[in-house]
Amino acid sequence: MDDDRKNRFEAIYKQTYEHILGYAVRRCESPEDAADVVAETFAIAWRRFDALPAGGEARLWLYGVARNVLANHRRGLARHRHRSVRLDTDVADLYARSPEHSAELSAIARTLRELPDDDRELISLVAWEGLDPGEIARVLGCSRNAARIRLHRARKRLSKALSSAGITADGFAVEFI
Amino acid sequence: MNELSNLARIRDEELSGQASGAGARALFEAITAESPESLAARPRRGARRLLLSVAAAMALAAGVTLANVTGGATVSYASAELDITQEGGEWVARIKDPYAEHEKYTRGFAAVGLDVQVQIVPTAPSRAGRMLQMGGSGSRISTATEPEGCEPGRAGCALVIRVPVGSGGGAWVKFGRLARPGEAYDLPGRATAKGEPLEGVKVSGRTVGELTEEARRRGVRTVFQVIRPRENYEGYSVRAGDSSAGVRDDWFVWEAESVAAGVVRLLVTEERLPKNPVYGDVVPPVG
Repeated sequence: MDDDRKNRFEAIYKQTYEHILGYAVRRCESPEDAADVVAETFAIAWRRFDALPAGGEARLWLYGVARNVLANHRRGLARHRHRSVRLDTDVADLYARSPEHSAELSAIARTLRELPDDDRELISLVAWEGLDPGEIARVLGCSRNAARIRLHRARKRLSKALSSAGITADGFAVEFI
Repeated sequence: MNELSNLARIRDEELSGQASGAGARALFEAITAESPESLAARPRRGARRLLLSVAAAMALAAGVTLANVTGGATVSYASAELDITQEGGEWVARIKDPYAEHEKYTRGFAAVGLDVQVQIVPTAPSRAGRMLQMGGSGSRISTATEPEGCEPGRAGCALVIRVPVGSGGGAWVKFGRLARPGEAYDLPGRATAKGEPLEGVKVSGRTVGELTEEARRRGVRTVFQVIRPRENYEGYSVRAGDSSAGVRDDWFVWEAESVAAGVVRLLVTEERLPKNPVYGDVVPPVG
């Protein structure tokens, strides 16, 4: 029975690992933090295997877990229970090739960083994870309608922040999401 | 692709193959080695009471504060070295003095009925505050620093250990802290990591001459360790007496370890090797 559980977990792990790794690497400043977030997210998934949905839903459920783990991490409640040199090394590699940004892109990055956490997360889930409002609703555990409204407001605030940061292209924020 | 997605450090598509990499496999094994439902065992009341009374007697002798509220169970502990309180179903220990004798921590945990052994050893700055090893028989513990990412050994930086209330069994954990001046590190650090003496320097496959020059510029002392690569350059061994004798500037360096404040040990071979025996097929990290 335990083997069966392990096999099913392994299937989901293989299917979702790269997505969760990507989620963490895109949001963490350091490879150590990203490795921690990935490790803790999957450790929780293993402990709460009965709650872990199957198929494509698993990825959304794990994004939700990763989001909480990350929030705890930022509050200084980091857990380092599954540190491994091999994982750290793999993740550190991903940080080694950081892309060059144009000045404009850096200004946008700064604006995005300065948005309230919830806004930034909504916008990132669209721009980086490619989720639609229905999927975002499942990550955040809210209704599809609520997700849609919150996303709309977040985009408006980003748009406003961009124009006050002097990034002027009309309708820019709306266009690139 | 739009502007915002260009801000992403990496795209999922670029991570193809990571799920079958060494890191992913190591994590999978570590996670599934735990029983999925190892919920914290209920405390054995009798045993705990006994422990508490012993702890209380010790506390009187040692000048620490124990708070008993409900029915005599100890709910907090405070001493110069560490504080332990209950927060939302967890025991939270904050170690304020990472230089204290390890016994003092053990006593603090025992005072609230926990069997947790803490060892804090001098390490390179990049490992200070990191958990180095842990083990035990049931207690699930987690660790952090407050503020996050601080280096134990600096003022205001606490090492935090959380244990679920009601955990059975014992646990031990080993942490790194900043070394005192001149103190050798218990565990060497990667000398090219952030905060280390050769931060950002590429080491792998360069010559001894180049790197000793770089180290000199940075005011860092170098020592050598001659290594012998294993078959297929996967791993290496070190023999007694192979340390620095006869190392010349045209030898090759495969790794730089910080072994004490301002001292870096270069792992070297006389021949240029087709791959780095310290890292095998993994690209050696820089920075």
